[in-house]
Amino acid sequence: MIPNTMKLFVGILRPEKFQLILASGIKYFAPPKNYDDIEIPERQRLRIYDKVPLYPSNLKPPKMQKRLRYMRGPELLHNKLQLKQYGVMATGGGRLRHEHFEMVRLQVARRLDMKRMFAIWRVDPPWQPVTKKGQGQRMGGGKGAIDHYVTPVKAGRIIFEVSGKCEYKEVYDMLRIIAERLPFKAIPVSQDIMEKMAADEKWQEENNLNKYTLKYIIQNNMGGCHRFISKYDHKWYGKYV
Amino acid sequence: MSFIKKGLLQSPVPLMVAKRFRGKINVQKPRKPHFEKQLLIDISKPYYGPPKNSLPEITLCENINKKSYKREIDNPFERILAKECLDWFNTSKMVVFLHVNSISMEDKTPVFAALKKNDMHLRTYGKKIVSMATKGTRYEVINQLFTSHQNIIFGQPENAGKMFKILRKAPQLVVMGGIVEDRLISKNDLVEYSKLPSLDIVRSQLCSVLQSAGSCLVGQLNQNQQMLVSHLEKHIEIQNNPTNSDNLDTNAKSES
Repeated sequence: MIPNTMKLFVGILRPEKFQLILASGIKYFAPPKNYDDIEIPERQRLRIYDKVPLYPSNLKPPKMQKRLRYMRGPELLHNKLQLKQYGVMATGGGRLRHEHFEMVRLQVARRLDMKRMFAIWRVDPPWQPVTKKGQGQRMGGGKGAIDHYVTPVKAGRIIFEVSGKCEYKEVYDMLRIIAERLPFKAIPVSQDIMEKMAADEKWQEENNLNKYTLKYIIQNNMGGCHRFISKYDHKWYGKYV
Repeated sequence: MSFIKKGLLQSPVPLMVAKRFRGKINVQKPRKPHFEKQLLIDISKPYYGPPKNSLPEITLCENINKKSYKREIDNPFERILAKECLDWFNTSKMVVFLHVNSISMEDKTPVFAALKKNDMHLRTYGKKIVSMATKGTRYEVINQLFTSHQNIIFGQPENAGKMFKILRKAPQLVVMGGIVEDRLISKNDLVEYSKLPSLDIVRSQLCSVLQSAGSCLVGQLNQNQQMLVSHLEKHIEIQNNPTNSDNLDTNAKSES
């Protein structure tokens, strides 16, 4: 009988145990992605948006109630990337003021390589009036004057898009910085990320083992929940406020 | 009195009361849900099975029977190399596979040059290129000889002797076998083949062998007749010179 340590030594000393073939092959660098189908328009930077919408001279600019419904719930129309490349998507509702438009525009102008890329707006210029009473004014005396204009944005809306002969990594920093500075929660996205998010959501819906989802509970009025839920819960089943 | 008060003076309670719908909300920072709603939210939390870190390891080994394949990259340069390799195979009548032990380029280059001078080409090909080149051709068998990068000598069969002479200088290059005239042969056969003279000489040898058999037959067939002829000639000679024969007879008698 050979003791175990001896066996180990015998194992190590056999040269074929540690045979290592070192061979260097041909390095393969994949050809760069083809962006020939992308045409860069004349204007690469974002357009300057007016601070105040233009009204005909005979029309007094109307005042408006708050209309919070313009910020609530999911965006159903402008929630896809038109140019199929990169952009910033709002993940929560909010309002864009003129300052935010300027911030986005300047950041894009600063960080965009205009030989290869271009950017477009996906939101309207500020159109909703917000009224404010002057400082130190007593309550009463009717609705205040229009202070500024805003653009309401719902969750899932694309704010602006960047396209061109570039990869996501190149524009990611710009998108991230802008997304951080917007007045609502926003994330930088690419087409791949959007597709993955949609697929993940689908998977989560299909693989949820808890059959008592909020939708099921609300639809069946379980626990008499209709007594206390809001009408928006009937619409979005707790996903949005 | 009380009846009048109850029936007539009491204002009727309205059936429906208009009520504003819970005021304005904060979209950015919504209010925390109250207790009952929080209960609903907690009950309806999605559940995707037990967390993976709580499962035994054996259940996580999904790919235990699946081989993980590397994603194959279609490299156009590799295709060109493979085509070149196949061209070499098709154009050269002698292909010799070498096993390469550790050898420096300093030692290898003179061998390469000497082989080239004698119209033989030392080439290095990897396993993948060779398998790509030989796929679907009659050379497919030689894939078994390849484990990694290996050297191949392409040349014509009449140079086999010279090749062995050159390779004697580089013992690191070991001949494993080869293809000669579309036939896979071992190293020993290759050595034997290299020692053979050239085809013309062998042919002439064969001719001479065939001729010798014929001439042997002719000789054997002629032998008896010639013997007979010679015997008869002798006989005539003896008959022409009877004196000699008489003398011989007398001599024989006297001796007896």
